[in-house]
Amino acid sequence: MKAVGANVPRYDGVDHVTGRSRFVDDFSLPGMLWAKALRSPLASARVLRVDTSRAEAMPGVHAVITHSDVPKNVVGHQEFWGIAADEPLLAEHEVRFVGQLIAVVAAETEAQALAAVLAIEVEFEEREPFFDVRKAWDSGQPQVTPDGNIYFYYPDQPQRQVRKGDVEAAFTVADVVVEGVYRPTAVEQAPAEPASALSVLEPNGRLTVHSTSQALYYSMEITARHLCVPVGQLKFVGGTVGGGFGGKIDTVTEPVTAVLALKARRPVKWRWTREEEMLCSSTRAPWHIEIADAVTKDGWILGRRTLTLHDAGAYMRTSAYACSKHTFHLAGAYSVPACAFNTFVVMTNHVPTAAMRGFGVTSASFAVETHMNRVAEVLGMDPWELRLKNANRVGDTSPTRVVYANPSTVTTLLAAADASGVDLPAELRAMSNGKRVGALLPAHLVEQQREPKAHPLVWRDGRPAPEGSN
Amino acid sequence: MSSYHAPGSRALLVERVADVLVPTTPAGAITAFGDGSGITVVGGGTVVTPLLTHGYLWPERALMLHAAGLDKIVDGGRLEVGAMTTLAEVAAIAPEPLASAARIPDYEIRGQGTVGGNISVGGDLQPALVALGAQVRSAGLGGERFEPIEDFLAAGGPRLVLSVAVPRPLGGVYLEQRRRHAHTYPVLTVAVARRGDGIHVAVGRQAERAVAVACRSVERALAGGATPAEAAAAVVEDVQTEDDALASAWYRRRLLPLLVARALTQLEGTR
Amino acid sequence: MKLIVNGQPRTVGGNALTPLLRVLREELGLVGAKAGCQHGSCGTCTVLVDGQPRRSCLLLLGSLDGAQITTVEGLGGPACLSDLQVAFNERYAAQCGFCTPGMLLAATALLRRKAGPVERDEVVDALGGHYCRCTGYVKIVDAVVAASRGELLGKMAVSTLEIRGAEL
Repeated sequence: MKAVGANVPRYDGVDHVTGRSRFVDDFSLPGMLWAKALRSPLASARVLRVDTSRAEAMPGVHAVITHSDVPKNVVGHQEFWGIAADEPLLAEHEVRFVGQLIAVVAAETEAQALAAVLAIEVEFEEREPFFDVRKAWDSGQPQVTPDGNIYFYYPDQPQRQVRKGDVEAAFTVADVVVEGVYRPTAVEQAPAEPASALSVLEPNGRLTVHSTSQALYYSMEITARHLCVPVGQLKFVGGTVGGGFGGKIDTVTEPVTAVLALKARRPVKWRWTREEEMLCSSTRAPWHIEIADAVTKDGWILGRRTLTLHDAGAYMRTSAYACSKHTFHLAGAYSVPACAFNTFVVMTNHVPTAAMRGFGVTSASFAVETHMNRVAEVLGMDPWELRLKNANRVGDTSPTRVVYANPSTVTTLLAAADASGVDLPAELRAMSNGKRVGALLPAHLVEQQREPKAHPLVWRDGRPAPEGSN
Repeated sequence: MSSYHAPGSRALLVERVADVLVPTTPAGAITAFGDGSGITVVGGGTVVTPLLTHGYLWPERALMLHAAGLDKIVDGGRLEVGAMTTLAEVAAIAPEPLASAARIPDYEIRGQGTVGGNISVGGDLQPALVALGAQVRSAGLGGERFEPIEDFLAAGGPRLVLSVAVPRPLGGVYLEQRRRHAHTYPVLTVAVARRGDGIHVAVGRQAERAVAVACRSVERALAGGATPAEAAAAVVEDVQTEDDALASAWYRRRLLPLLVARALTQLEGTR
Repeated sequence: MKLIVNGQPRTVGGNALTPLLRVLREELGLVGAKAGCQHGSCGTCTVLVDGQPRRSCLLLLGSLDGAQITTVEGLGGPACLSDLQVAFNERYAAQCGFCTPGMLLAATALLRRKAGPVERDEVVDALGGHYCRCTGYVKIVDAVVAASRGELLGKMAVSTLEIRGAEL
């Protein structure tokens, strides 16, 4: 643990300041081809016909691929977690979002590739798109997927939910109910380096893929499944990534360039333009979060109901996972003994949404903390006091019944107040993370107190771990 | 049967331009430009090159102006700057509100962007030049013209900007409103200038690709003795704001009188 | 078309409307300048042209005959880093490294212009057109100010293997 707290030189520091760090786009190989994509201009349409014949005949073009060139076109990004595959790498009979891939060209120059893209003919039958998650239950809305617009986590239950304590009772005895609606919008990760991939067919039949993925093994697995080859047939090279922030996990450039390289029998590089990044790449999702808190006059949160509508966009990708995380965090850093949280994954004709820093939880934090300020405002109470009273302490339990053994909410709040120059009264400054006693243990919090279990860490040979490492 | 491609797929590095003309005199540039049809003009490159790179322009003929001698500056009773004068040069020598307008882009773009390019595309110099009562010399269909910038902007059509003449004001202020980080475009710009005949006001960035607008209602109110705040309130009669990716029409409309009032107040302070 | 790149005369092909960025990366193999946006907004393509920082993605070859171009590769190799490069490395001004070449070139031009200590707001004006999505900019400004004052920390970063890269 020598590195923690120390100023350790970056292993790539000298490379970065001499411009010698090699990003995917910095690699070039003899005979390398450039890829350009034909993307859907429509948010929702049936694809009646795609004719690539003129494109294939154009100067410099070595390959044009559509869905029929992909050995397994529909591969889910989280099939290994039981979330069904739903997204074609290249569009088949329909397009569901503006920017969805239809065909990709590999040619000797970018200009030739683009000219060929312009020569691809597509016939669409436009459909009404669905965009507003708030209309998810309205009748007569366009259906984004064959199973409708609301994802079912379980056969009989659409939402991810958390239930704890008696929410009905909490709302009955509350002095005030404070409601709020929070709608953080989509955010584009906008890394300085656009997504890129370079696939190289090796003489021994393996494929080397230079990738900007933040999760090389993850992308390797997905690429292998698209190609129907064992993972061992692939060699993924990467790790020098010009920013990702969650936007370089969805795996598209690697399988596309791999399929092109196999068809063209040449290395193929695809680097996205800034336009593609901004318009067609996955973003942090827009969320619609409704919170209702049952509170007492003196600032205890007795119970919380939430309804979240998550805009997953046109395909699932990692949204179901994000919404699970989101739901578990909707009490924030505070002790809420009665919870009824409901989160729905709603499919729309937006670009499929994905991870961005704090994936699923950032939206929860934003909503919860803003709501705490609203509660304080309604009660005429100092927002610091509201937070410090309700802050998680040793022995409190989370909405999912995790017993807090070592929460740092109080310490963090006090440090934040200090750093912001906020002068808290002595009784608040004296608070600690320790078990609730006296006035800090009102009747409604008694039942959810638990004894935190010790989880002693030991080395494999049985030696105890160092003091304080639990 | 319809043929589509989406904007995202248009990246292109131009390889197949037939004709690139590089005149070495202003007369040569005027001849090469002709009536402006079928020719792409490259000044500093800041406007045109991305259009080439991303496949929005497929020129058959291009006119590059870097050697055409259009960068002359005459710093006399009035300031005359050639169309190829960079924004950095303008920032260094022009009177307010023009100097501050030229400082809007970042350091590298200031060194490369030109006056001619800037006024041709709704650039940030426009409101300053309108407020200053500048005149534009241009070539194209119908021959050479020398006209007030408002007439130049209203006329439209392909024109080759040759130079801009800027009368010296008695005082000027340029204000812009940006979101609070280093790297953004203004969502609204206001230029005010005190000239011999009174105070002139112009607004820019009120919409995407907006042409700067002279604020005659504000000018009339000022001439009639109104205070800055009173006169500024009239600006909504002169300016139609719109939504774009940077800001909403609502926000711009609310901001407009405040920014105009602030500019006029600052102008008073420069007496 | 003749260019002088990092002090060396080079003859390059390409037609007049080829962006300099492409010439540098694909013809000359100088990949330090990056294609971050290719519309002049991000600064990752920045190089020095006749000593001035410019967006190479916006410069067309036809306007550059005889121009002196400096890329990040011309600032200093691992064995002879400039003060700015050392300061960037010591103060963690680079995270992913993608914006770093452009930042260094713009900062180099600033320090040459000023020939002395610079203030933070001068750095922000000079580098304000450069976009960094990782660092939050503070450490970049710290490094430029420190380099302008000769404040190097003397903790030259070495990898555990102490490998020095080859000169270009």
